[in-house]
Amino acid sequence: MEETPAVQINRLVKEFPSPFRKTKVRAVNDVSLKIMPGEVYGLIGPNGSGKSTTMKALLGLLRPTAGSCHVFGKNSLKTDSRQEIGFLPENPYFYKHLTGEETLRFYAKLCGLRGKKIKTRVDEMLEMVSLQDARKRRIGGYSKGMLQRIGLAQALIHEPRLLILDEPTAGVDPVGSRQIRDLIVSLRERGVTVFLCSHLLEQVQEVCDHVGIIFNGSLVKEGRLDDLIAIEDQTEVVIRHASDHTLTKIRDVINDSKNTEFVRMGKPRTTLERLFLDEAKKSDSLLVDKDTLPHVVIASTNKKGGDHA
Amino acid sequence: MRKNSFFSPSRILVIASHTFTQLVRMKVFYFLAVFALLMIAASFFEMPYSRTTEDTAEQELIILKSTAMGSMAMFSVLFAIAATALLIPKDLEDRTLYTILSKPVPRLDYLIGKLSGVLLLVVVSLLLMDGLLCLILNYRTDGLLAVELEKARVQGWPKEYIQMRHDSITQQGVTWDLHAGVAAIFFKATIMASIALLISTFSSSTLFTIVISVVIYFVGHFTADARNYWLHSHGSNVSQELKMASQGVALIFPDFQLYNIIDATIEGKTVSASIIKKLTVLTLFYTGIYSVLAWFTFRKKEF
Amino acid sequence: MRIVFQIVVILCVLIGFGAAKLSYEDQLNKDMVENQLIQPSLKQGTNLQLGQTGAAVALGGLRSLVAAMWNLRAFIHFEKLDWIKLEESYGVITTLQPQTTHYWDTGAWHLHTNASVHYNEDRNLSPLRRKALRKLYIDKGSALLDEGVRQNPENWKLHISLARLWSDRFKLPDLQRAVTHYDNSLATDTMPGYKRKQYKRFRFYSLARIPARKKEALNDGTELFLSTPDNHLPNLVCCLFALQNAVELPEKIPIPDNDLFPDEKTQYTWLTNYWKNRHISYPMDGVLDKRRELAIKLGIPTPDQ
Repeated sequence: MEETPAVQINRLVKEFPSPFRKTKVRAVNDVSLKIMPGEVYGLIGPNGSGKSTTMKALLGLLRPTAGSCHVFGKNSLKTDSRQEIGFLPENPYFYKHLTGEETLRFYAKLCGLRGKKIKTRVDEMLEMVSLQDARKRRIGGYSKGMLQRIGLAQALIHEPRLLILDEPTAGVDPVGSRQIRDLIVSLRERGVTVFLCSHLLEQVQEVCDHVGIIFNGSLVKEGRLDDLIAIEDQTEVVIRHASDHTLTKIRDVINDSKNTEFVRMGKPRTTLERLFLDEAKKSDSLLVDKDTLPHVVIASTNKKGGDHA
Repeated sequence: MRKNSFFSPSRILVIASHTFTQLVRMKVFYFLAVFALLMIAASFFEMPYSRTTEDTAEQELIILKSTAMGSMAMFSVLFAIAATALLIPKDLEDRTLYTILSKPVPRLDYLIGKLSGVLLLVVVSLLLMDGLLCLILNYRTDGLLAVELEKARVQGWPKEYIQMRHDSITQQGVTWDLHAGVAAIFFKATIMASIALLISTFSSSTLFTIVISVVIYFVGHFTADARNYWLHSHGSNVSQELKMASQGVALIFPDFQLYNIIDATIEGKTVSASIIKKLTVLTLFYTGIYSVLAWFTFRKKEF
Repeated sequence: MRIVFQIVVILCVLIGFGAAKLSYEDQLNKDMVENQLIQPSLKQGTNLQLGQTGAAVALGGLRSLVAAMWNLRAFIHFEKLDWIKLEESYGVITTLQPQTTHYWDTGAWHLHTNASVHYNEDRNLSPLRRKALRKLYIDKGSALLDEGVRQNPENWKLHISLARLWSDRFKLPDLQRAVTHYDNSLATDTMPGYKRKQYKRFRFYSLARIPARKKEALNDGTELFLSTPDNHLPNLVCCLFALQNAVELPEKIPIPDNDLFPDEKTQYTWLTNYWKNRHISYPMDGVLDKRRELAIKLGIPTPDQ
């Protein structure tokens, strides 16, 4: 029995009338993609490539010129389809005159939640995004990171099965960014489908298991992340406390192997992000409990093709 | 998951009360403070002495009512237009519209919710202002009655005359007809809000919406003339263009002169229940049509 | 393209709806005008006088407020003795609020009393000019009231104001006009009962002073006297007395003196006071003689009259 895809975009075309010329601008050109439930899909591409347009078509904010979009089998032009969707727009703004708590209550009611359930969900969401202290503060006084977090909370308030995120970590500091990424991972573990677009490629690489690359409105490459980025014919090995003698031995083994070629050896570099997070953790004020040090993630994604590492 | 109906009163209420809160927190109610001061100042007004008439008391009450209801009328119409014209472009600019429309919110609910929020604020403001007017009017009426009775005692007026003066003065005081006038003010504001809503679905510029709405408001006061001209003037000495223009105006624009019972109630005239009923029905029709047309434009709008 | 289509649809719906509501609105309009709930359309030309903002607001259903503000301005013109501006103001005010008696009355009063007196006493003008302006402003006051009456034919107060104006001996009395106005006022349904008696008397006084209508006056005076003891007032009684001496009505028997007057002493007093009215054309037939007769009879010393 085939499972209903969470997202099904069939040959989507979107044209906008050009204000100056008679010809229309094709923002999205024959894009098709399918996201199954539980996947984390990243749509990447440069600015103006059609990422946001595709998302908006999925949300029913735009009408496709041709093609169709379905969410869990429901046409995206129907209001019903949005019951399953939680959306976090790029640079979200919320009503400045409301407090954090009031904002969540408002959106909860819009989604059809009632009574006690609202209170429960609001409390849960505030806890999840660590904004309990700011719940009575007006949104007008929130920092960018806090806005992003409250945005996530409102997107998730009605327990949607599909989460759509437009540039979720743009403009957010590394710590906040890490938190958002961790959240995405935990959502995936809970079976929530995530569809995000970003041009922070490293971050996409971390969380997504499927990726689509869009250029000038066309989907030029698509597939499982691991398949796409693995350099098939290379293997990476990282060792600690290796003596010069051991290193020489390894080089000899490689040289003796018939088809194997030595590419390079040297000190791997940490990332600036890892450094920052380590320092932040040392000051022990901001980090979340989940201890997911970057080097573990990199090791697992490199664990592909070829033989033993 | 719950099935989302096309039109959900509870969801509309959510958006309406949210809009209401938004407008209140924009400190709109400061206007009420100005109104209160104006009313109190007006209540001290005394007619310049005139020996030829006996009804200066009524005139003072009329001036009081005129100031109050004039301000109420101006406030509610201007506010209805400006607030409605502001709402959708603001949502669009702030991108809060995306977060709302990406929820299972039918676009009709969104529009009606916004409109209802504005009207809710107008109702509350009018009730407060009406309340204040009634308080001050009552106080003033009692004061003037006391003065008249004193005059009557001193000058020895006949009973019939005293009764006449009493009735005449109280007729200018707080009556149900005065509230009918306030209702007419509300009706006008309702129609203008729905017109502003319609225009704002086309135009994303608040200023443009306000200007066009105000123009429609003025033209609407000529509709009765245009209609009279069309239906009741006979003779072929009238240019074709003028005839067509008056027909166009009579058909397209609402007739705001019908709501000018405001002036009548200020002068203490009686408004029959049937006229109020007819005005209510007419208002509902206008508001309904403009709202539906607004939805017609808005439902296909892309963001 | 899409926008054009939408606008066309909207216009069509509005026109369709407009056609449907046309007769409804027309009928409602008629009902309201009938109940005097809405004002008739503004006279042509008023918009120009009101000024931009004024016109806008006047059309906005705020006529009362604008009229009230103009009224205040008019008072300032009065204090400054700027009669031209005052007249203009009242023209505007009465156009905005044609059903408010007070505005017609006050405006007319300013013109026929204040302005005319002011010009009459203006030493900077030649006597001829003073007279002419006095007349002009009395006429202007009357014209304003006439317009008020035209727009409010059932308003008894405005008729009375006109009657008073034309019977005022300090102005330019025209008693025929005064009587007509009294008649018009009494013919309305709106005059209250207790006022009728008074104004019937006032009408009689004016009528009595018109030489050509003495017979009519006698008739009316007799009726008034016989209708109620409230009318047995000195002026009316003396007037009736004089009219009975002046005119004979074949079908009517004159009322004897001891029915007219309570007693001879009172008769003497009343006739003495009445005699003072001889300069304002009240009928005086037989008054002097009777007075002399009573003086002798009652032993009252009389200075030479």
